[in-house]
Amino acid sequence: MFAYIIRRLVYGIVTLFALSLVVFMLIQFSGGTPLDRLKLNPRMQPVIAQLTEQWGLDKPWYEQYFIWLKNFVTPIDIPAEEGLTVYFGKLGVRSWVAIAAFVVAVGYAIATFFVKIEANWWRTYRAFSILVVGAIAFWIIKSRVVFALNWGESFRGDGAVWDNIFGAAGNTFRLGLTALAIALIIGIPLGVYQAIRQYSFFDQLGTMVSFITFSTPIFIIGVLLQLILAYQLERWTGVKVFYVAGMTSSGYAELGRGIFGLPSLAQLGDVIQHLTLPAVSIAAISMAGYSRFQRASMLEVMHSDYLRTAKAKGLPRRNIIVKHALRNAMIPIVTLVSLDIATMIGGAIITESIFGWPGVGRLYIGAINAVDYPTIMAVVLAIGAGVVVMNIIADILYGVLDPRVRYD
Amino acid sequence: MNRLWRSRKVLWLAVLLAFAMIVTACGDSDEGGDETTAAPTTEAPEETTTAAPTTEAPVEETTTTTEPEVGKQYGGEVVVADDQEPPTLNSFVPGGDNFIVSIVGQSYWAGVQEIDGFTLELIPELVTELPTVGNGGVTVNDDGTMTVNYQIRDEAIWSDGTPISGDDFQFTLDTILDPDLPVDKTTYEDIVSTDVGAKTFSYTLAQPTALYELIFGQIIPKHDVEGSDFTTDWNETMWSSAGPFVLDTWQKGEFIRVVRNENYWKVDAETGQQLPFLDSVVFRFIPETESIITAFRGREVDVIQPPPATETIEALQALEPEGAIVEVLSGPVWEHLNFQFGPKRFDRNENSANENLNYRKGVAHTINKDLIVDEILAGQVEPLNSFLEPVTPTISTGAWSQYDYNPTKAMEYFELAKGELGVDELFTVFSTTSNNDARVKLSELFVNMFEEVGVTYENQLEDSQLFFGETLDNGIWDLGEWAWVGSPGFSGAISLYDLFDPESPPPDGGNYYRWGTPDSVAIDDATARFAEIRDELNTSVDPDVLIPLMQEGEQILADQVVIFPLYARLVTAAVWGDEVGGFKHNPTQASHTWNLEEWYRVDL
Repeated sequence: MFAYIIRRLVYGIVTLFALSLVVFMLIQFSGGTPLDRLKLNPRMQPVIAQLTEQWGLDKPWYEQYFIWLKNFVTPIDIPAEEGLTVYFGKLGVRSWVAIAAFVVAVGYAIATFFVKIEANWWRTYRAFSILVVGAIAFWIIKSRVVFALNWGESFRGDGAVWDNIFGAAGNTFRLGLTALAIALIIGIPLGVYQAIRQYSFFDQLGTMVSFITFSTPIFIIGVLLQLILAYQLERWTGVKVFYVAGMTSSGYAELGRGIFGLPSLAQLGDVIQHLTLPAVSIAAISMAGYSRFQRASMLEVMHSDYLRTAKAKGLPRRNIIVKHALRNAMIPIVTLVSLDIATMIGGAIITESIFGWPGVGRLYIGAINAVDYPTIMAVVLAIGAGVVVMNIIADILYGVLDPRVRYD
Repeated sequence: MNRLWRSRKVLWLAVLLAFAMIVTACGDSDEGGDETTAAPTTEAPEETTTAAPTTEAPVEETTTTTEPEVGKQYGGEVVVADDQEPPTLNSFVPGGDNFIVSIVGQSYWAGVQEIDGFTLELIPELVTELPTVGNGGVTVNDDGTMTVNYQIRDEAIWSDGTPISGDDFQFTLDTILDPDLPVDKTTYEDIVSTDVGAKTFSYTLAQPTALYELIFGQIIPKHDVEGSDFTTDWNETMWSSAGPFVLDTWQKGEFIRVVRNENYWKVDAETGQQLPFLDSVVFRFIPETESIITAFRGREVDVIQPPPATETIEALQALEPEGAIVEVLSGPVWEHLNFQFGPKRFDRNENSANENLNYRKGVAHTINKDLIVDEILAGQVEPLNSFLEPVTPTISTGAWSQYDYNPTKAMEYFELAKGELGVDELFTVFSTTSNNDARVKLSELFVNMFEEVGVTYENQLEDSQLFFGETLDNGIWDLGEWAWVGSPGFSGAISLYDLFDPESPPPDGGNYYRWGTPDSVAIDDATARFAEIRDELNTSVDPDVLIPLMQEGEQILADQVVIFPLYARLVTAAVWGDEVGGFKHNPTQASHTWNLEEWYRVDL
């Protein structure tokens, strides 16, 4: 399996290289430059000339590309003392998460090599570890304690692209993970239940709702949610339940911290008030998709011979559905979810714009409008890398779900 | 223990807890990831916790929500929404020229002048009065140079208590002239000498120019910035404020919060109260106009300046019975029809007749400006009769009023043109940007107007990147349409005349029409006289000289129909009048936040 992963990673790197070249050429030959907005003012001609030279826009496109590529993979030298200050000086939420994750991850690694236990607590520990290790990886990248790449300065003047991308990525993950959780928690049981109760009233209703939701553009769902739940609900009840836009209130910091530097209940409430509507608008469409896929997949499995055998053996219905049917019916969903996670890195462009959510999608739109190609390139490659990695993870998960799959 | 771990509830609880921690950690910024706070002031004087002493101002130690016995209320917060976020807080670096930087910047920067939202005239800010020839602040010297003198207000201080001095002006000049700083150096680079005092600053320009009016619009504090990396250190933080507020928080992608500058030096002209009234202002960034309107409806935000689409204006005006105040004004951006006089117009229209004056006059009488304003702006403003009207109406003579909508007269001119050109038919190809709804609508209206007068008409619209790039650079259009932005004062008006300077074709100059340029078909007495006028305008500072010259130039451009002004774009702002007082929209680049210090909550 190790060789398989390495091979897939090499293919992935080649794909990303080709992607970067194509996107760079598209930007170069699209006819605009980041300095076009200054062109109509004759007094800005010296400024344009100066910036053209400073940003290397006067060089041939291939030369610009190789300069960009070299910088893109070059780490930035971060002073050790800066890293140490961040690491030990401010133990906020992310630090505690990271420390916990570190301990769990080390324990997991040791146990994997030296202990072979198949007890239930071990499974729980494994599930928990995967989540926490993800958190530490993200924290390390975001806080720049260990590592940062020279992705250049934004042509819009808003600083280092690396910082902008990972600043926005945190917000995108907050939104995307919540939406994914909602979609999975509701969508998959819904699909399973519809399959078990095929052609029942509930199944018909679920199908109709799914089709309506799936075929409604996300901007309509978003605007409707804003109008009904953020605006009208307050008019009807006199209570502000949800906000139209933003990720937190401007007075979020003044709401006070909870124990161990964790968010207080008031802060958590504020986050939920802002997060719910954008998350639900994304989840609504994914949920419809998951439930439809899950229903179809479940129906296919439930009519298979091995399930009939299981029934004939007298296994409890619950066991048949959960252990035998659901596990096999999950395989197509894994592909769907893995691709959803990958595209989530690119941000929910429309949703982020509607709800004023400061994620990668919004950053991307702004970069395109300003022909800010360091940012465009970085976002495109981040999405590309996400797709590559998530595809590999999906392939690995196939093996976990279906023991017949072999990695040759 | 194993039983505990086997419990599904415990398992789900653990997974949910981990998920909640990750989600919260993802966007949480308490470790400074995204959040930027103002650089701490090096010396915070003790008195900064007390509102500045005036007879009416509260005297107890407080920063917030104190109510004077008379006058306007102190305290509270106002939320201003905008569809863009500033890329930087430093207006002197790339990206700093964005309009939103100025909107937010009104809260913490100050300069020699500001634009009055009521009169649209320049008024003094940091100086006691704006220098002019009349008040002796501007002197034209015998050697042909010109000296400008500023008297800095005695009470003007930075937010950390340091007096604003002539050194700060000199430092600002030195910073702008730094060759490594990519910033517009026009006029600054013509300064040949300076004289610095504690509360005075004088400079001498190589030759007289009215452009002195708009320089030193923002002063940089020497004591903060000196010795630091100007282009890097001051992008996300702000130096000591000279404005009514100081930067408190910048939550990237979400909002900027500014809080009261306890050392602000202005008092309210009406009540004598210490300014500002508000404790804080939040600038919240919401990209979608619809969301901004919904947030305004739900009173999540108090003040908005949405794009002035007619449906948006109507939606806002529907909220007036509930307490909203909607201001719809004519803005400084003026749309105009224009002709290309260079040779590349034939690439667009091989039958182009732009060189013929009667043809151009015929086109001017073909255009129904009232219909255009009705269709595009829902009749909210009057059409333009001059490019000077949007920001300097008192100077304008309305020279284009001679061209009323008159198809009969237009056809007479077209007949004359056909005779002079020796053709049987006239062809017009119209080009503008395709990704601007108003311009697309305009192109549709033109179809009927030209059909009515018997001119063969064709629309060739282009994406704005192409139009404002290759098309404009090379003059590849026949009949074109786009907008320019005007700014107040003589300097603003004079810069518009530069757009028609026969001696300044692009790329170095701004005469994109190529009217009178060496490759133009229109080189005659009119272009020669206009070039003289333009030269005189750029070397004069006396209003008695400038105004007649401007009016003569305006008349030449109208008589020659070089361009045809159509309308000024609307600017809109809305405020909840039952929550916020003191608001007055300013349609110029000073924006709706120009008098932020005078805003107050009326609902406290």
